[in-house]
Amino acid sequence: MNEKKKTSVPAKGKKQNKAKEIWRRFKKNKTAVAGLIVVIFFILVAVFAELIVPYEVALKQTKALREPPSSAHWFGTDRLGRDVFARIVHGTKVSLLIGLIGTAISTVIGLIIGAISGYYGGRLDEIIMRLMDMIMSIPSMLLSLAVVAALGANMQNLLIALVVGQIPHTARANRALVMSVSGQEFVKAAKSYGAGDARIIFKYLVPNVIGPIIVQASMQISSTILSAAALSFLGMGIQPPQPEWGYMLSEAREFMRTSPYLIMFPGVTILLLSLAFNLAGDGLQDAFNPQLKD
Amino acid sequence: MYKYVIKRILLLIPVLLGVVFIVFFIMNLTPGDPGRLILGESAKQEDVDRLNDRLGFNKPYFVRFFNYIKDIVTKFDFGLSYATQKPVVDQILIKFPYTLKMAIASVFLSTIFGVTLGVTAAVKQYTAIDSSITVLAMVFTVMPAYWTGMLMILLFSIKLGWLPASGASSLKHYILPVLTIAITAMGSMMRLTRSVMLEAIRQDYVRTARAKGAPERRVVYGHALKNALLPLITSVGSMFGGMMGGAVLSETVFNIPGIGSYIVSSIRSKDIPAVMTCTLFFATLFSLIMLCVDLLYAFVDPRIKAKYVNS
Repeated sequence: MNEKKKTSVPAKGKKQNKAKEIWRRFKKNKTAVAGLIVVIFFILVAVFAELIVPYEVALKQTKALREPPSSAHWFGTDRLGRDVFARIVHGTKVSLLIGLIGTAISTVIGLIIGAISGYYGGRLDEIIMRLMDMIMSIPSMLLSLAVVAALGANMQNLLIALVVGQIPHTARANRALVMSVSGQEFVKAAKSYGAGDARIIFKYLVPNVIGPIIVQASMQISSTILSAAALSFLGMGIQPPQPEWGYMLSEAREFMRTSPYLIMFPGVTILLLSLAFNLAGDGLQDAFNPQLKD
Repeated sequence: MYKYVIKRILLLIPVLLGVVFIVFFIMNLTPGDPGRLILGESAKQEDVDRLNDRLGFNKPYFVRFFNYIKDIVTKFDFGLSYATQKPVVDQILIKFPYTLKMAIASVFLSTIFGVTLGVTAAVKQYTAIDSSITVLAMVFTVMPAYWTGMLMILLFSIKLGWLPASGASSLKHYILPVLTIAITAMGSMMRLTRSVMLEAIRQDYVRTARAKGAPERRVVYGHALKNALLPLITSVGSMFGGMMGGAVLSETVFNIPGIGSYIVSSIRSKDIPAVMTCTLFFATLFSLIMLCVDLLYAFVDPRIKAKYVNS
């Protein structure tokens, strides 16, 4: 470990130290660590879903309709006699994938648009930002609904819909970040020795704002998960019989009076996962900017 | 000042044209043609073709877009609903009051409670009250609105039997849906108020107010909060936008015949004119609200007013 440190280039060592410093500050924040643990737990559930309970169990319809939780069915069974526990476990995969992939795509596209807009400025910036304003004036939930309505409801289109709704926000935030560093000396220096625009943007500007961008993205994951579940609840997202938490809630609606547990388990799971991502994201933000913390 | 207001209103026109273009583009991706959607699966192909021809569906994209805009501007005609063959605008005018009532009531509720709780948390920083309010705010922010709604139905309608679970025929019917939307919006309001207040109560003028012996209530609400209002006003404005999304979910859960549930049913039946008009309607409304927010700044902050007058 020590040897490695000595041999590494100075710049890299600095970065590692910074990461360590952030981790040290993050560790002190108990709620953030709790959030991270819950997130890791859900990731493990998603990865080992097949080992916990086979996918067939989540789809298999039995004669035991809407049975309350028991030792045979921990979370009970739904209106088609399917095991709710198995459906929640396999729904984890779907929600996490959408949350992570959706956020990653919208962050990357938003970063590219924001960086171009912030770096070039002038008329191009004006045009891009007006376009973003237009998209932003449509409430993002409606925009996503319209996209799914036009393209058809499936996982890929759900992702497109979520990303389209988020890009203006990420582009705007990233533009501000890029602008805050684009006037600094190292950018001028790079320009003076003739570095191309693409090189300046991706080699100098982006690495310098990557920290805040990661923080932003971590906070966005939970809202992506929530929007995806909401669209599925309306029947505009993941399609049955694939298990998805939001859709499970919409199926459970009819049976609220007789089988209230059917709305409790998926609801609590959505709440837990998005709360965990939020807590961890908040902690990450505080760890990145200790001066911001009151 | 008037000049500025007029300029801002005129600037809305290109934005809304852009919105029409975006929505028109998205809706244009829908497979199928209006003739088939209106006449149904069993209709004869020649009837479908004739109808498509009459609706101008066979014309190029930009011609259709131009005609769409022309009809809106000259005749205020947003098209006929595929499902009912009646003007979509009429439908929206019938349904909008439900959504508007809910939105206003829940903005009001969530602002009052959100700001009060946020201020309390900031004033009592690092106490148990502060941390419980912070946790509550976090939970409110991530509670899915439709789930909150179902939980409330479970408690207040099914278990206690106090309030109706669906419909909009009396004032009582609005309580649960309004609470549902308000709770979802309240979380971010609480968090924002807390953070701006934390900054405000450390300012010199607050210390001065305390030093001259002003009562604590006046110091907090009269001096600190008044100066922290600006970001809060923006957030109330954008809350309206989020609420339109919340309305879709809340109206679906509580079966309220507002625009939110109208959009969902129009999307299900591929009633494209209805979806387009509702989206445009919300976008226009949201842009107008944000414009009002900007103008409100001038009344709250004399510095901003000076800027408007000079520009």
